[in-house]
Amino acid sequence: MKLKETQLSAEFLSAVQKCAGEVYFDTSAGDHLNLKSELSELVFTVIINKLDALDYHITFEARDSDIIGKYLV
Amino acid sequence: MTLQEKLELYGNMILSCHKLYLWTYGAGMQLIGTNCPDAELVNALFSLEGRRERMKHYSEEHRKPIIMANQLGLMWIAVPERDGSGVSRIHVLGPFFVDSISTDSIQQAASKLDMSGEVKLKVMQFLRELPVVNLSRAFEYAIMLYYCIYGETIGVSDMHYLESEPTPESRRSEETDRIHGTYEMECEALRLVREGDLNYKEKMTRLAMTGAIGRMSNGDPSRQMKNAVIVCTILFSRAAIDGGLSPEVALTLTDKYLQSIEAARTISELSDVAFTLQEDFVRRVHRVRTRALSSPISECCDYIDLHIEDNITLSALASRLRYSDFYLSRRFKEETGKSIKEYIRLKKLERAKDLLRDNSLTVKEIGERLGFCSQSYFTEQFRREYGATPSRWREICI
Repeated sequence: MKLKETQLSAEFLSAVQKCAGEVYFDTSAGDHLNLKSELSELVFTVIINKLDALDYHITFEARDSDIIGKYLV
Repeated sequence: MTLQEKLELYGNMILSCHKLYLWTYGAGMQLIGTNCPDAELVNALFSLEGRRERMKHYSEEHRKPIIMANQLGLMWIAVPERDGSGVSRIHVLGPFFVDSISTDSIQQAASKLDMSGEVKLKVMQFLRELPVVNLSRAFEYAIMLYYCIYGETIGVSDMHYLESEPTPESRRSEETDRIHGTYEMECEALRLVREGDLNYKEKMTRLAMTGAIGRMSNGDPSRQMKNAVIVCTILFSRAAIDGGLSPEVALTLTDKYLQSIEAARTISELSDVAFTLQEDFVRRVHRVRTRALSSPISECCDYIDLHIEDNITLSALASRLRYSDFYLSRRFKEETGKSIKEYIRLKKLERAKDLLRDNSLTVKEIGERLGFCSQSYFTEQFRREYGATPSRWREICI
């Protein structure tokens, strides 16, 4: 799944912190980040805004779909 | 000049020194404008960790500058623009690092993440473009921004601080290997105390405020700062003893400041205590090192300094030193050139100057606190010594 809108990245990351399980961000270049880490939040924000040509997907646990599902497509 | 023109000039002047951008948000923290060319990304960074919401909450009650920092050492300065009806806008300057160690530590931490070369390069390139601003300079920029908006001068002790939210257990922070890097600065600060160097403020300002204080609390910023100031107090007291200050005086001062630290309710009050205690230790060591007094008379002077707001009698002083009143009185005059009564009077007036800087006390209250028999007597003594009444002196200094 991907982020619906880049502008919602900060809100999305706030929601990630509320998730019970881990949330991962994987790119076609081979990046694998756990979005619950502070540094990964920064890296994610930079990638989303600066490397929009890079393909990526976000994975999370089913129990957290109510929390972050609305930010993803 | 309108406020908008002033802010634009301020923003451009800052930009001429650093790539430090000025942002203007509405009362609801919606971005109104900025001079940052990469607004979307950098604004997103500001929004992390619920910072916008916390800033909004802060602005509802305060107008003094607030310094915000995240766990990676990235910082912002914000000043709410308030008028009679509440907050209208919030002006933010940032982001910046206060030392290059932050970017180095981020690079080290980033090397432990599973990142591709392309992404790592992009991230580090972005971070290295962020300015590194000495903390003292950051304080100055905050003071200037406040002045731009309100036309009032404030001091560093007026700042508030906001650190990141407490880190929940589930947060992965092991990859942010915090490097302290403060040892050289600490050594220099202690040297200044040990030598009683009265130019310590200027020298501290010139020092790069490098490094990061270690994590000394479990995510509570207030406790973090209290613990840091407590550590400073202990280190300064030992440095002062090394510099010649009597251990008894140093330890009494330590007790007094530790109580003030615990009693501080805001980070601003804590900052005041921190500045005051360093000044106190430095000045006392300077006095010890520069005056050629015998140990008993030196101890007598220190006792007077420490108890200046109490009722000090010649008999009590003599009794402490196991001297007769007559002998102490004569020896004190021989060594200092002043009678004990005159010395106490001058010390009370010096203390009055410190108390006048605090707007919460009236002149009458200060006079009473220092034991002057009447306000008129206190005013007259002050005017004779300093050429201005206490009220006038307060106007000049604040």
